[in-house]
Amino acid sequence: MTMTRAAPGRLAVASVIARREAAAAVHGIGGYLALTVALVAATWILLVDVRALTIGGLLVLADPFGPSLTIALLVVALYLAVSAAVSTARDREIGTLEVLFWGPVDEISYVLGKVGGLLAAFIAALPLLFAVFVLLSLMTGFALTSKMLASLVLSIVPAAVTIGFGVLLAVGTSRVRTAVLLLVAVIAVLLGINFAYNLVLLVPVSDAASPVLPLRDTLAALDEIVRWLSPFSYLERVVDAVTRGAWRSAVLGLGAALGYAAAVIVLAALWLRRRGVQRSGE
Amino acid sequence: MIEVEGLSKRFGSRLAVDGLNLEASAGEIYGFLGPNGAGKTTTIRMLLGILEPDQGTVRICGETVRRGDRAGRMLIGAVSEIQYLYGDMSCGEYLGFFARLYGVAAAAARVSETLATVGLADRADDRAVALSKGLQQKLGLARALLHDPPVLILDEPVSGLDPHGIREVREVICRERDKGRLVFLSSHVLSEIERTADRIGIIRQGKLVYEGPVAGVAAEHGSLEEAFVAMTGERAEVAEAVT
Amino acid sequence: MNMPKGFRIPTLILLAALCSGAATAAQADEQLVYRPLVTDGTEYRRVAYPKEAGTLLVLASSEVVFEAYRVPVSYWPITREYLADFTAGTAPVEGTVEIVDSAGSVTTIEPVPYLTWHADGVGAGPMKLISGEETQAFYDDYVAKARDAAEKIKEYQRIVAERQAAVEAWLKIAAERPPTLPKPPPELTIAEPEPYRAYASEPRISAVTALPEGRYTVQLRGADGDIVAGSERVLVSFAPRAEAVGYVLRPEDRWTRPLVTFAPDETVYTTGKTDLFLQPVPVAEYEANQFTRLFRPQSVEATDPSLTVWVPRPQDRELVAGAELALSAEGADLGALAQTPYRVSQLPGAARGYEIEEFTPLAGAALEPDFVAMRLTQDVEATEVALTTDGAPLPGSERQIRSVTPPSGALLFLPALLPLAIGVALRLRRRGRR
Repeated sequence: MTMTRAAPGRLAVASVIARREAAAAVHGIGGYLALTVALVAATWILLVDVRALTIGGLLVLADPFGPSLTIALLVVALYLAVSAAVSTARDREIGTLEVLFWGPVDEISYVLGKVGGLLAAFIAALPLLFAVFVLLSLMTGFALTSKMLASLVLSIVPAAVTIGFGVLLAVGTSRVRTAVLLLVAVIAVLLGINFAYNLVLLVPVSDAASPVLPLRDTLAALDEIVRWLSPFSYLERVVDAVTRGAWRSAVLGLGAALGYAAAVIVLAALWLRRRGVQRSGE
Repeated sequence: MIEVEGLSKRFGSRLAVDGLNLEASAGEIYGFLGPNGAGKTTTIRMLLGILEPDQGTVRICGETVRRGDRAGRMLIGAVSEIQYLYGDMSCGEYLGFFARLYGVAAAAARVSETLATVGLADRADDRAVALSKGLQQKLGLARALLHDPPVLILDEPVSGLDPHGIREVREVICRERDKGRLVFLSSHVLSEIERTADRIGIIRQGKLVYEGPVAGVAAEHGSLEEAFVAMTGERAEVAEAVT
Repeated sequence: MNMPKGFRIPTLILLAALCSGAATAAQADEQLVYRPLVTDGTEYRRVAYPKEAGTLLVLASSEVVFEAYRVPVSYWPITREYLADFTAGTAPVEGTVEIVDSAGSVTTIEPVPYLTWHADGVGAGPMKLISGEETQAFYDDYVAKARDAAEKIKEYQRIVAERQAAVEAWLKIAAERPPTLPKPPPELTIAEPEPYRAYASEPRISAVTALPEGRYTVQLRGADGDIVAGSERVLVSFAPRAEAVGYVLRPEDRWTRPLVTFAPDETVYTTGKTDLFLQPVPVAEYEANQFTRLFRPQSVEATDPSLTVWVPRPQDRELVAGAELALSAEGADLGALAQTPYRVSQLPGAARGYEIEEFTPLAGAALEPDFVAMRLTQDVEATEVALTTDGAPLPGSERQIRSVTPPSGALLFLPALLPLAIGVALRLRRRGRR
């Protein structure tokens, strides 16, 4: 009657979850909307140089698409983090998380599947991003550079960091709304510290006893911590290094991103194990 | 096939399951009964390996199952009272996903087979969340059968079904029992238990107060309902206090 | 403390940061401070290195003057720097400067006379260091030339004043309308002497040396033969990572607002509506972390070691003197442009207000060209340029020139809608299948 079969390997299980996750991302409209918003933002940045050239008649650029590509990737990374959080929280909210764990799914294969699926969707989106930049290049006359292509490819690892971050924050929450609010709050704090630090640097100080000074030093220390905690800073770091042709920095940045992604994935799995897989309210 | 020894689980100050011992064999329908809050769901979660017991062991087909034991979970097919479904999947896609998850060979054929088994062959392309409750229960049963497990654990499988639905589910359960599977069935619908189960276990306040054939206990108390009320109601508390 | 567990560590970190930041200007601490005279290739500056400033930085193969002082140093929280107070006019610490290389061998730098020389005047053109035995003679020669030039100007001014007086006297006579008017004073025939702009500082005596690229230790050895306490410091002499030729780009319609292209991987984009004047400039690439700290050793900017900066090397301008700009398009040679002096003539009433024309020196006139450049006319089809000497391109002088016509802003947003269009199409197709 029955054939007791061995449990599939963790990677095989993760790939099934990843495939479903990627399919949901590709078939949903959210990803395309996010890409459009990202590219609109990128075009907005590009317009600064286009206008400067139109007005001044002369412009010198090493990498015309560097800044616009960076902003596009940051917007996409933000969407990936939110998407990961929503997908993870929704599994618990609707009860499918528990159903998965009735089968050969454990915490690490679940988290790997979630991260892998959205990462696959991100990789699938890269040619589309590139195609749009090719169109922009043809329209503006600005040259595409090999650095831009390298930035696109190398952004994959930092993208895994943002996805993992979204999963980590959501894995302990019971509701999609809670997960999104938590993610937004964390991002707001990370961005807020950086914004506050840059704002304080603009405040003129002429008195050594000014209270702005200890505030500035505190924000400097917090900003340094944020640089290591914020998943978006890894993306910025790698893309910026590639844009500057600082390949050693790019490789180091990739290594750091890889390490952080692994840490985030492990933490998410551990937290899920601690939290359990019961549906909200049970 | 299911052997539980000294199983205990505490949540804070509340002892949900208290030294539970039970045994269920292949080729039988084991009815698991108890009042609300008796510890049935907690016990089932420990059987499924998604909740860690504080004490005791669970063995499925002779293999000790612990939380996180992926191999152990391959031995079980589970159906819950409410079906948790992906909103963007059709019935066929839903089963196909789980078939791949369980590593079922020839997944597409197996999906068709299990859909036919539960009478959903013509609903493969329909969105799973759009099905009626009864059909969703059948879909859940189909999912549980995909990887051909020796043990089926069903929690309130006929809850909310109409008489036709109940009969259809009953037929599937009995067919699977006849194939040699152990069907571990938790339900409040005592008439169904009385009709389908071979043996029952009655749990009250985390302890098993009866385990044995249905026919015996029903004959002793007049009906299964009488037996259940006697063993789990206020009179049971008084009797316990006296002894 | 009565605080939830999760808040304790973050609170401690916050307090520690606040305490560290709250350090007001500390008590002055007397220490040995190096104050070398270093160059960035364009000018020389004295840079203070209290011990908190860390490693001393100098440009490789450039002359550096080493001096050390024992002065008070205090922390200035506004700029987050340790400032040395030289206002007391303390004399340099006595001792012989020694440079120890990475292999451990010690070179003693004997003090010699030196001065700073501004051939084109202070603030105009590169500074040079003159050192050694020739210093005094150089200075004496400078003084003599400066005096001579001053004398000549004085003589000229006297002659001009004399003539002016004579002219005024003649005008007075002419105003009286005498029957016979004497001849007016003759025109001046002597040319106005060239002003002497060069400047040399007074000679001083210190340790002067130029170090090849590398890592060293600098120290002072006292008269007693021991190393002066606190004088051992790490010194890094750094060379450019790369050298190239950049350009100052002056569009004809905005010649006072030039752009620069120093990095060889830059592309010049133009709308092709105006001529472009290219002035070649030798440039060098340095590690930004080192270069920005050359004059500001306590700067916290540019800490990324892989960040680089391209800077002009005016001291190497001979490299591009006489070079030509070779033009090409898709490999086809389109000729070359020579460097030509240009003058900007103001034209009142004209639309632009000025015209840029080739400079022709007039005899006796003191006019000089406003700039020397190569003129790339707007009708030239060149897409690549490179500076050549004797037909051979100078490394790093190649640039892409792209003449583009950017579309209007609104049109540029169209490609961004492509993903949305694809998403909607896919969704409709999936719905249709169902």
